[in-house]
Amino acid sequence: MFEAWVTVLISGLAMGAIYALVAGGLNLTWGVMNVVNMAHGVFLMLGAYITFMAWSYWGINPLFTIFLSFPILFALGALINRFLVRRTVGLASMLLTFGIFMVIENLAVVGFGGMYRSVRFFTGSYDIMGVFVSKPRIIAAGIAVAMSLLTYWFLKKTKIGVAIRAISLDRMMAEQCGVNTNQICTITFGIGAAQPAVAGSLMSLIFAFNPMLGRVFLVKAFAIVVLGGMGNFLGALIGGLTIGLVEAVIAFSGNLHLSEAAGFIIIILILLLRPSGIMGRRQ
Amino acid sequence: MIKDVARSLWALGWMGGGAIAAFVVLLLVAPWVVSPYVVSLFMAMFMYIVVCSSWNIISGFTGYVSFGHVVFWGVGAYVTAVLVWKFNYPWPLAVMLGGVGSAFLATIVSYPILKLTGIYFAISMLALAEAIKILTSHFRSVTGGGGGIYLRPMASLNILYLMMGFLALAVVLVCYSITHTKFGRSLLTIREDETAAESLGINITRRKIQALILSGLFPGIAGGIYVMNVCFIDPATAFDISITVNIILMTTFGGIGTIIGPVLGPVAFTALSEFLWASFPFLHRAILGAILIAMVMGMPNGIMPFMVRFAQWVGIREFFSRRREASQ
Amino acid sequence: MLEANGLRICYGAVPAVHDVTFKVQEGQIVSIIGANGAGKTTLLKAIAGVQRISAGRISFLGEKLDGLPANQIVTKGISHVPEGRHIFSELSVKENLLIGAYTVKDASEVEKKLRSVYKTFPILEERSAQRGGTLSGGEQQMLAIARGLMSGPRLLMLDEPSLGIMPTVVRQIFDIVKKLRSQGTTVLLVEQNVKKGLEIADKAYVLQTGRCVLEGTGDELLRSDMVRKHYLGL
Repeated sequence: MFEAWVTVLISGLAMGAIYALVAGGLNLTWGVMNVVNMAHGVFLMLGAYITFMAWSYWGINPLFTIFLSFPILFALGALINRFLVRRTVGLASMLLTFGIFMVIENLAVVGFGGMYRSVRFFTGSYDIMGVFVSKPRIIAAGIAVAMSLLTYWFLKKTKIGVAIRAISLDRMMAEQCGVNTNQICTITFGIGAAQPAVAGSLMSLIFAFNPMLGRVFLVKAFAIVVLGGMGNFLGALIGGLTIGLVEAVIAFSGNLHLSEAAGFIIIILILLLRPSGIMGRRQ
Repeated sequence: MIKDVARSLWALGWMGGGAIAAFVVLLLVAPWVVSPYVVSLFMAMFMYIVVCSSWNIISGFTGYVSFGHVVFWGVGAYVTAVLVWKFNYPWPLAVMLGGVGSAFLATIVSYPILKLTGIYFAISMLALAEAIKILTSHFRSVTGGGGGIYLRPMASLNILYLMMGFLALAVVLVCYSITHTKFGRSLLTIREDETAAESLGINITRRKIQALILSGLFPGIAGGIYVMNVCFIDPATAFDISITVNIILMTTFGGIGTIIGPVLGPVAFTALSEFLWASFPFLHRAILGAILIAMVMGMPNGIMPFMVRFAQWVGIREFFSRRREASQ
Repeated sequence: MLEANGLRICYGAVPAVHDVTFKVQEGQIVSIIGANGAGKTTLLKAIAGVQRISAGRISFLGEKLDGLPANQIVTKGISHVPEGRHIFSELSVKENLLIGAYTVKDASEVEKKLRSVYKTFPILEERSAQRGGTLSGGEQQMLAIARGLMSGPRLLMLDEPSLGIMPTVVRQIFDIVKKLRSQGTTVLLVEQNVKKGLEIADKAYVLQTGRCVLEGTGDELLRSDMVRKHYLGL
């Protein structure tokens, strides 16, 4: 029984690490640009398809496909920001990005077909003293955590990272310090699209998926961001791990549907009780 | 209050009264003239007029943009379906109780959820709809679970169509008359500046709660009528975020915060969406998405400003400006 | 160095500044004084590129400035220290300063600038790891000025540096402003504290409800009846 619980905790945390990556991108565009991106789900789905195509057509090791999905979605995100999102903020940005979601999802159904795909590359489990850890999950989670930390490092230590954080605090002042805020926001949106794409690439190792993959994360990613505190870059990681864990525990107690609802219930509770999130700065 | 409503209805005058009479006549005559297919198309249009006008009460008039309004429609549909399916209620009663159910949901969530504003309100409404969708799948014994509920046909299309039509008329008249009452004016004040509204002595919490309940009531009835027509409901349909987006899209297109906007929007979009389905069966969603994008970028105030300019140009300014005043 | 001709600036339909003309000579401290709402801040915002002008022309070292985005203005050599300081509260003091040097490409140059502002404001070096929001008002003002200096500006625009700050610290800040002039930085100062603003100025302008009503050297204005009566209460 003990081993079973440890297995559940590990698999929940592994899922949470990937959630965190999805939410990290959303958090970035929301916190920095006040753009509530409803399209992150399709960026994730595109990431999964990039991995699937690169692996099945060209036989590329799925782990290396993140070096494809990141730059491709970065470019797509940058273009979307440059031509569409730009100065649209708040509720208008929610509508706009939902429009983008509809267009891309529909085109994906037409282009890829509605059938389920999967990347069966890593299979089986590691057995560590009776604790079973699924190989694809643990590998994907490791990369996801590394990616989140890398982004965190980027924001903390690089010049562009500091500029991004400055914009999130006071866009006008950053502009007056000589930061080309439009350009930095384009980069930010690019990263905000590329992070979920990497999460999608990793997720394709774990589940079968179709073009509707993004829908599951539409609201869940918001739950994580709200839980971690909007604009708190480490908060998304902690929020993601928490939600992954909670879902796994509820699911293990035999309640698959309620585990799905956990995220939404958490979002409502957090918003009501502590709107700045568990890690958020107080207003 | 009642006096204000009566006075506002009186103020519709010959032109307004004539328009209502003409609508009722057309409503009654249509089933004998057009095919059942067109009748159900009209019904869908009336349904969207109901939900758009209702959404407009909380989002357009009061300024709390709801991203989960489908939840009220879905709950109404489910309440009706469950009452008919499990408890053998007569269907017209079940339909009305659908509205009671959605208004009840609005009541219990209203106090906490309306403490949030802007994006946070929008997102928590979205989360509410998703959470209820999942809970509906979960409580299989009551709701039939993810597989949904099948009903045997009980009411004829024409009856349901008439109910939806009169409901749409009623909702539009309600929206029209509340803008002439103190209640309606309080909502507009809250939209402009909540702090100022409070300092004017408006009990903002109470007003917002009333607005949300009113805004949740009608979609529930519409959901009930809908489910009696299609005789099937499942969680994926009942709480589909696309419906919420359609509501926002149509109302914004017609003109958010106006009376005529949530009527024009559904009329235009039902026609458009029908055309897109027929012409581009595989891409209609992408095209709708593109329209949404174009609208946010190109005409954030909806089509009304264009209509007004056009009306001014042809010289029937009076007609439109009266309606706009009513909404402001 | 900086010339503004016939500036007119509107907020919506309401003009905040009508037909203002002024000049800043290299190496001077130029003060713009006036009551609340006279349009002083608006003027600086227009030069900094965050406020559009409806008419007139701004030029700097012979180059047209109006119409450029704010981030370009910095590269031309103008730094704006806005009213209310606008410190990046969640960024460390050092990060605040580094953002100030965003336009400086050369890392060793940035390092040099950093050492130089730490020398001028030793307190900032002590607090370099602290978050900007945790500093006191006076320290924040120093940080804002230091951040403005990090881009190596030829013209520094200070908006109300004395607002809400202890008198001893105000004196310190004005001493630093004088020192900057001696090191060759031109300063355009907006002050509500008329006495302080004029004492330090080589040249000054008095703004009243969006119009320039008086100009002269700081001493001239300090002695003028109009200033004495309206602004100094003598």
